[in-house]
Amino acid sequence: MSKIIVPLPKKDKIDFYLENNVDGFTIGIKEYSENFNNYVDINELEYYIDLLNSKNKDIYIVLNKLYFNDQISKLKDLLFKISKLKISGVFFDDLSIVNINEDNSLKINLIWYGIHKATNSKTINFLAKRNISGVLLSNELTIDEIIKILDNINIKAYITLFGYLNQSTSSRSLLTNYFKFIKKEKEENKYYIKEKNSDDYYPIVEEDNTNFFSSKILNGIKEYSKIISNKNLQAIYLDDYMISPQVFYNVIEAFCALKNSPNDKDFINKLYDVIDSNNYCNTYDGFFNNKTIFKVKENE
Amino acid sequence: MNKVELLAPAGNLERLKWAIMYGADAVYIGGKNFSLRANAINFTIDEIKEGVEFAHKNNAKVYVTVNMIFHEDDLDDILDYLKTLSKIKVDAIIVSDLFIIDLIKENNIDLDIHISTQASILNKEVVKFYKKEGVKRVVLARECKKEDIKKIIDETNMPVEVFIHGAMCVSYSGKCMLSNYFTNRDSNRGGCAQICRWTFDLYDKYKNKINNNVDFSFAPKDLSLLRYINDLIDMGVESFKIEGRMKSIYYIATIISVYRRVIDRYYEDRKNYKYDKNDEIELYRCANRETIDQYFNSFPGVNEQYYNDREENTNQDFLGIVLGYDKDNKEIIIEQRNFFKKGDIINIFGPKKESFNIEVSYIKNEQGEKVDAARHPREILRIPCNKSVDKNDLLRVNFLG
Repeated sequence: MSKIIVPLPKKDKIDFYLENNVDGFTIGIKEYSENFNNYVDINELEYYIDLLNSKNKDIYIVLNKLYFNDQISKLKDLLFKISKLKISGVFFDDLSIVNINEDNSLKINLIWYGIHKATNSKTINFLAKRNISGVLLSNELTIDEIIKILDNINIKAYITLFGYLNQSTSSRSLLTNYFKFIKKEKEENKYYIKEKNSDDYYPIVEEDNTNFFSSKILNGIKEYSKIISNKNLQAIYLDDYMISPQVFYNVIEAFCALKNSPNDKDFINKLYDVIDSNNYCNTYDGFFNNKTIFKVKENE
Repeated sequence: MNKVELLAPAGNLERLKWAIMYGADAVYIGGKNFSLRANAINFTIDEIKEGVEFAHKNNAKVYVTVNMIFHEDDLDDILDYLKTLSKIKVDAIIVSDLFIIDLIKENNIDLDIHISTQASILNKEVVKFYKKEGVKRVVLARECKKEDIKKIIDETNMPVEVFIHGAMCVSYSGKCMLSNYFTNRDSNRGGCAQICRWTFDLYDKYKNKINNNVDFSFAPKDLSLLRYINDLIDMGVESFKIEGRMKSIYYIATIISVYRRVIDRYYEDRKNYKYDKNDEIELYRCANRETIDQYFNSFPGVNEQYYNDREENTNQDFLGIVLGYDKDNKEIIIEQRNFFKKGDIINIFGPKKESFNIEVSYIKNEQGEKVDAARHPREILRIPCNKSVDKNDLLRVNFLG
């Protein structure tokens, strides 16, 4: 049965996570990762790895950014350091990591962070042939597409089933630029954008990059029951980015509870409602039941 | 060292021919399927074939974009499509989805692969990855600055294509799904609804609106590296790409002819090459948005974006197309495109030649009657001109003086 992984929380919150049914953690590293509530400094990595290993937790480092040419040397140093750590794998977006891993025989277990591009089995199998051991599937797939992909891939898959969905990443400092233009102080890194005739508030966050997020929070607990036993599903990912710890505890508990009764539809519906109500009734099922179009005229 | 390639966009067969006539060394086009710009007219297989034949006859190349990110349901016909492109002698395909690399290799398909800017290539290690895969060229991300471009070329020896002109995406190409979330149109499959051109309101964490007077927008200004053509050639860039598969023939003819002229001028005499402000005037006037160097020299800031003072001009400089020249009567026969009148000074330009001005001393309609102005689009007219002109030369407003 598939595992549950979540981002590593801050130090003062970690005990709860270590004692409950979470199987593994993703770690975001300052400068090299984005969209985490909590980043780990490179110098603290070993401390956390030891702690998590002592509790038999899976550990994944997430390097989910694209890197400019002048960052490559430092990235290489980081990968050399990671290669010596006892972890389950590294999620990567930039293919430079694949090349550095191969050229330097680092033997890091690499998992493709394909949140927008892992949309078909052939591309995933292309990477499998290049020794990539796993894939985080795209957030823009229907559940039927996910099942088809799971049935046709040669490596293990990971799927995000909870959290704000990343919509777009710009290297520009879009909030800073706007505040400069209106001659006001930017007080936060996170704001919301809203269309004039809509009630939806979309988070926009500026760190090194500027990232846009869905206005609603993905609640994929119903879909979990459809794929929970798929042999190619390694783990589901519950993302706490911009979610308060108290709310996130309840989400984790709901997903853990489903593992005990994956076929009880009434129970699953109740869990869905629990997650929804805990998140101010602002959850949805993303693209799981909503196929995108691209040839507009054919769909008019 | 090979001369840098000038690579033009072509949204249909007519534009392909105009781009090549006006000096493009290669064009990139999209077929009816598998290409971004899914809602453009695009090319049928027969049109691609005709385009390739036309291009090859004129010593130019044709690259076909197969650059969408595929879903399971899109995979069915791709192999046959690639085999057909190979059979009709397309020079290369531009791809972003990785599996196509294996599909080409495993089926021994004779097609060069170029990696699309959709892959957002920013560093030498990614380029090395693609080089090992047998890829023939990479299109660098538009976020690369000049040092990145130079180092990537120097340290990988990989043929590199660089965007030199056209619209910019606000986000990393391939990593922007705003269209999916706002309109349900899949940007990575060619359905992009250009959300980055919309305006929004900005709110703080308490959902208080930040400013009532200035909308929050994030539309970038356009790119032009005209001023750095010589630097880019010296760096060893293999191909200069111009964005705009949806653009008009006038736009394509103008942009291509300016870059053609500048490139040729630099190759003719590198030592004495000087930037000519008139090239810039000609180029920028044709664009409907402001054009700047974006990431080339420094990271873009507040001045590289539009807010509520965005200017998007409709260009009415394009006055007509030359259909022929009547040597006996010394008259140009034209198809009209925008208003001009008797007494106007107009400019005539054509493929690989110097432009010149004439005064419109009279205008005759198809019946041979003199009229005071050219008012009707696509009307066939005659105007006097002592100098011989060629079919497919273009008439425009005289903005250069």
